[in-house]
Amino acid sequence: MDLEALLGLILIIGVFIGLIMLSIGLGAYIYFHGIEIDLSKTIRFKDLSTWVMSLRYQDDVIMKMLSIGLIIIILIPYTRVIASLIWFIYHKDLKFILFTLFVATVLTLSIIGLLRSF
Amino acid sequence: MDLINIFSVLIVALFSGFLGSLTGLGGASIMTPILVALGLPLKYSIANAVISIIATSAGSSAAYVRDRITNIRAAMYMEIFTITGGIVGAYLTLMLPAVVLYFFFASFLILVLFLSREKGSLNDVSRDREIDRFSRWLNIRGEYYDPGDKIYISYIVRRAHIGGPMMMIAGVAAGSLGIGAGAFKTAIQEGIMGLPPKVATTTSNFIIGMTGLAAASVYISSGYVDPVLAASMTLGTAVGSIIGSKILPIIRGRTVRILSMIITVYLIIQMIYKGVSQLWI
Repeated sequence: MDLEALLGLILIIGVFIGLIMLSIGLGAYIYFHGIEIDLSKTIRFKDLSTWVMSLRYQDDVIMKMLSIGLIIIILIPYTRVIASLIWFIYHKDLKFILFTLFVATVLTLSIIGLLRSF
Repeated sequence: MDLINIFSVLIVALFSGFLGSLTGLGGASIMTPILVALGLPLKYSIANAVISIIATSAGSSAAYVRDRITNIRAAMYMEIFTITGGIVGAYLTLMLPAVVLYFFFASFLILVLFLSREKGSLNDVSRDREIDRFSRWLNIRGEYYDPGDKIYISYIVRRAHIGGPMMMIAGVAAGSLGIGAGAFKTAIQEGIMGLPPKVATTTSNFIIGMTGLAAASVYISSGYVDPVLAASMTLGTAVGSIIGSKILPIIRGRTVRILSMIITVYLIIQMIYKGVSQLWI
């Protein structure tokens, strides 16, 4: 499989699964909680990785579904960078290994919250 | 205002995604000023719009990536700059008062209006025969089939040493305003780096998602990302942009340009009005 076909697949599968989960989650939220969003109840996460970890302790199925849908969508670009990095390493393309490695490193630091002290 | 109606967010997002896809402005640039007018705090609107950008970018660029119109290597090079700019931009938004952001948003829309008018004259750079040393070292080339003209179009990336740092400015704008800044990114790729218009537009769409992720990771830790609000904005813009892309081929180019100009001018007035009214409070 070439890089373009692989990345095209990651994009379309990610967005499809993410949007399906958001549709079901949002429909269920409106049915059980009504049509208002209370911003004063917004939960603050330390970073994206903490949000992912918190899913294990999330009892509210609807919020869990919305969170998973959003996290899948947010992580689509990250997944495609990692896939590109592996592809460039396999094809020994040093220039682009360095480019994708830089992008992957900055994003990883950002996702685990290490850039917050900046 | 702490209580927001999901249906009004969904309708605004759907409408914005539709118009954004039709005019090339992008859903978030239209959605944020309207939601702010409806009472949603600006920083909430920006932070949650970033997630909708990732979804629209992934959905709209998948086919072009597969068809090799999007230049993956050019995108990888430019992403070094856009993600750095995106993170810096998101931190700026968290530090700056909302009133500054209103004026920054208005200034950016004025720049988009200018770029859309000057697009033709910016293309002159692509006709340069000389390729600079850095671009020769990068050696990013591409070829795609244009079904409209029934020919293969070949190109090589030029002036990458100028285009790259310019992309950082686009990243700062995208990260700080929670928008894709697609018009700006496309103008840099076409006007400075000499990419064909179709490649520039689709590569810009592809990069937008990555800048969105860089900014989103900062906004998540700020506490402005609300799952229900983000889901409503993401679903609305995604569905709206799909409808817009289906209708686009049957609408005349002139109509699209006029519509785009009217919307941009309205959004500029709206943002300046908000900024000025905050100054008086």
